[in-house]
Amino acid sequence: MGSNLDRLKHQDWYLISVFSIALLLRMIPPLKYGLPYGFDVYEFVSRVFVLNEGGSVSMPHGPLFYYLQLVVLKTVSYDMFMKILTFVEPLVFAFFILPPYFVSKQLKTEGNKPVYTLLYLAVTNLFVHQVGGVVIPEGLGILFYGLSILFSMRALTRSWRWMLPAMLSSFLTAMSHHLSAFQLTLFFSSLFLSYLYYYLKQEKTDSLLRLLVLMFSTIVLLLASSAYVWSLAGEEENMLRLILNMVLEKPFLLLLIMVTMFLFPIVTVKTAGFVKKYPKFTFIKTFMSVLLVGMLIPVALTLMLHPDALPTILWFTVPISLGFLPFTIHGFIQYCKKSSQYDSLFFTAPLIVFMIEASALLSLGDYRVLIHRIPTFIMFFAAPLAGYGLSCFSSELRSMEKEYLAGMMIAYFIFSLASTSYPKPEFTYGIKESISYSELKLAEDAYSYSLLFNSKIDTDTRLGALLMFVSRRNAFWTGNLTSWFLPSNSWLVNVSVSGETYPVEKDVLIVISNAMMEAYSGRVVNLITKPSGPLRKEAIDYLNNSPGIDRLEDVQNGAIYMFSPWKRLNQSDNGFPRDG
Amino acid sequence: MSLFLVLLFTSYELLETPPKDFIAVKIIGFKREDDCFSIALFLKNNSSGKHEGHLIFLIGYEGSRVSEDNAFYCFTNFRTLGFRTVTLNPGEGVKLNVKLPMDPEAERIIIAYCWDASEAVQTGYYSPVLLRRDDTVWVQTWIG
Repeated sequence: MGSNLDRLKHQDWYLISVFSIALLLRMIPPLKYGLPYGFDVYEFVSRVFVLNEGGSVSMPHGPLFYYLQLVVLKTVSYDMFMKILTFVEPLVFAFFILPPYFVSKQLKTEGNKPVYTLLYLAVTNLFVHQVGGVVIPEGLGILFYGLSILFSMRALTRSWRWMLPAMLSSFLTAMSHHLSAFQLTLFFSSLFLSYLYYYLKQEKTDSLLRLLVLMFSTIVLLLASSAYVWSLAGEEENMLRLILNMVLEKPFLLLLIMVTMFLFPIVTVKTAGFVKKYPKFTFIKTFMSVLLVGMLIPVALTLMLHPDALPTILWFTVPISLGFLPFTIHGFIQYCKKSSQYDSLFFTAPLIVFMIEASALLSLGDYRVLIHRIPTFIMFFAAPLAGYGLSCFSSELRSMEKEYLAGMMIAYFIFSLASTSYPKPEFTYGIKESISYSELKLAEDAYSYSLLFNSKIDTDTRLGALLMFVSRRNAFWTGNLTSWFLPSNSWLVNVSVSGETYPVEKDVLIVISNAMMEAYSGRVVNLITKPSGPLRKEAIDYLNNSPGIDRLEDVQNGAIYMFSPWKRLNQSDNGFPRDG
Repeated sequence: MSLFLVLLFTSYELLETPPKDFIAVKIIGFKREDDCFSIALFLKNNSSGKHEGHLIFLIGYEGSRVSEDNAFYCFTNFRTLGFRTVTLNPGEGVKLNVKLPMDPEAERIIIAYCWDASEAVQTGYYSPVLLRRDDTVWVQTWIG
């Protein structure tokens, strides 16, 4: 009895340690920079602040995230809002990794250690970055996505009544984030089709039939609530709608979906059966083959379709292929072997449909870029399998030497997963995700200058969002703040895209920062999906040396330029409204 | 061991924190008077340490050129008109009114504040002035 209590206490300490690591990793940007990290400022300025002013604005991800922010903003001041955004939200979002941990606790198979699942959730780069480190609607969406998965698993293994909270969290997923809702629709569709086939072929029970009816209702609810969210989104802003349009435009995709719907349940049930019976799976074989496939396929596809994305792909893929994928596949195989077909379908069906989805996305021409959002969802769903795979692997080691060796290797894998959580601009298409105090000052002063000279301001989306934040959305910024699909026709954007300089307009302040410059591996951010490039040496030389272009301010990290500003004033008193 | 390595990574990231401190200089007023140019500057020390540096006045002539890379600013074909030592306490902002004499051949005025500029601080210096980027802020206005 005493030893069991001791073990429990030990487990508690392990869990607390691992979760502390999760919190600590997500607090790196706030502690390091003291300012919001990532593009969150953009979302808040372009949506939440408009709502705060009583205006109407499209909400492409679903209204919940924005309204939650609005409640915080209405409750506290702007400055406090910034502090909460920076320090409190990453801590809150760290708790969003818990649903897969509870899924792991539900696994009935012997030898499972849920703390390993929590370890993966705590350190895996994509989770740290997208669920916590960067406060974006995806984080909230993925919480409800995870809860829906947890409740549906309970419904399948315990009582159909758990489908009711699953329906509620599905609705909240649709209200929070469009891609999360899309993934969840695929998840429930795959379960529905597979368990329907299972019901028809193997187990005609009333409880399963009831469950299937509820599952179908959940799919309808998800689609209906997604359609409602579409009505709140701006034209061409909703990615779900885009995917649907593309599918409708390509008849072969429609045909593929129809065929998949018929064949899919057979494939999943047969796959689960095959994995259960096939005796030749070993960890070493799995590890080697997954490593090869997990590395080669993404690298080959990237080189073929998007060579400039290779640094980003390698940055994230290598640690995942080493430390996450092999254990997930191993966990999947062991789970299929050790559990009933009914239980194993819960993982088999969604994993297969996600693979089909990834292949289909790759065939969608210009929109295949969406593929980069899918791995987080798949890995979030598969994290309990990775934890289980690691549990099985560690329990299969028979000698102390092997345990030490394996322990060191796994520690390295975990380290590589954690240490790739915050990529530098060289690995994120030149986008610097952190903001510095000097940039904040630059934005404030640019606004003051624009009032003094009655001028517009040309800067990129990154600094532009800050500008709109500090000016309470009053600055006349030539960029686009509320649309993802209209690139701005500004000097900075045009010069960064073409590499050719041309005369600047006379009534525009040009605000540049090191984060835009080629010399700092930077980029003029022109909304994430639009073409842009770095500010090359020629452009900087042009600003520094073109007669008439004054350099009004330098804050070490950036500068403000304008053509003949003092002539514009044309008055005797050249006072300046701020800082003396 | 995993936890230890992750802690190590966290410590490294936090130790590698970029400095939050910075110096800012801006032009807050400019006037062309009968025999001189009057420039109002505002210098601000946004750091927790005291800064002592030189305010360097450069006059650019035809063909004058500013080039920059990651490490240096290079001012070519400029004449160093003068300099002034300015000390800034933590958080302090200083407004400076500068009067520079008319020079019919001058095209632009550059005012640099540099806290490591011993070589550049020589009045009448004509050779390229090289200032370390990390230790310099500068502004310019065209007068030609």
